[in-house]
Amino acid sequence: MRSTFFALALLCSACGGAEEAATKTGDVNVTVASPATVARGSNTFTIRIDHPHATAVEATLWMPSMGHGAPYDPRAVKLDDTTYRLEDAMFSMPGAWDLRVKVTCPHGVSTQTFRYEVP
Amino acid sequence: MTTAQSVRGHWNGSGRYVDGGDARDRELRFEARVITKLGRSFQIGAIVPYVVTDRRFGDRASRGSGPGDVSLLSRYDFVRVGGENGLPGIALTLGLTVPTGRSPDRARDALGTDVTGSGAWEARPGIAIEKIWWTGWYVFGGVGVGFFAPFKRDDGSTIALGPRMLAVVAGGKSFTNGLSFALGATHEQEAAPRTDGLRVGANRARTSALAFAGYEIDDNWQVLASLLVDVIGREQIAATTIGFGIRRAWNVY
Repeated sequence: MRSTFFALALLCSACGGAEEAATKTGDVNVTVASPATVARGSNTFTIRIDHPHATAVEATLWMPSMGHGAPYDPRAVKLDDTTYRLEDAMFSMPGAWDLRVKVTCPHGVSTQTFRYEVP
Repeated sequence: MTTAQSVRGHWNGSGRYVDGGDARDRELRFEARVITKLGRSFQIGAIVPYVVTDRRFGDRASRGSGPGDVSLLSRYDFVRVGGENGLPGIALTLGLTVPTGRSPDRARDALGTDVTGSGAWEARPGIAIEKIWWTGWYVFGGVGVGFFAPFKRDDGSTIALGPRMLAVVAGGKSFTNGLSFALGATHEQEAAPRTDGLRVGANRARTSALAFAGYEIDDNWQVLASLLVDVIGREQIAATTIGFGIRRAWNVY
């Protein structure tokens, strides 16, 4: 079972005005540590963001081959400036699920998707 | 007809089977079916389901139920059932699914046990071919293609489920004592859904082995039993489904 996913770059402006976002955009690495076994039912993930200025982290679950999500979104609990615990990520059926992590920074919002195979 | 389905696991995107472990995922479906003739060649009908789902994943368990999606059926026989003049029976069929059940997006239960429908209208034209020999042997084949109407989610996005093809082929024998049986296979293929016009996910497929038995108690009453075992798939759950039903027929002609 995959245990760690290394994100590609999350585009998120570090500082400055909105108009400066394009030039001051930096790469933000997001790491999602999954539990030892991702399973149907409730799962907890740890999200680490290589950026101290994120103002919000949200996550949703989506089952792309079925065209629907989970009954509710998991809760992102902030542990420190760069670490969040994602609680109650509910996979309601087996198959491929996408965990979409949305990171809001002072001047930008970006979304990264992680794929999980739920047995 | 009452069917009981138990999910054993699923097939992933590359077609590899993944066992479901100790998770419990069962569905009981009660269906009231009615079909009536309108003239010699035309039939209409409806299926009204009620769905009960029972799940246990890890330390969580839940049970939910509710009315499912109602199906309206129609069929026109170009060549009557059983065949004539050397031709097999040929019929065009049209099914319409009305999303009267609770869709996954409207689920309130954490494990989704209150989900009883797809959330989308579906039109399903098809063709059925049947041949019966005087010895009692018969073969049946049918194929239908389902087209879903797009629907909007609460977040404003538009979901369009991909069209799906459903096919069944079976053969068996009817005996003079009222007993009949059939063995066959079903196959379903479904294109990936689209979100706001963008194709997401993968195509899905599943092939199942089918066994069927029936017994005519008298001219009006028949008992039915079926077994459906999913054997190959891709991006699909793997389940075993048993069914039992009682049919009452009225001779109106």
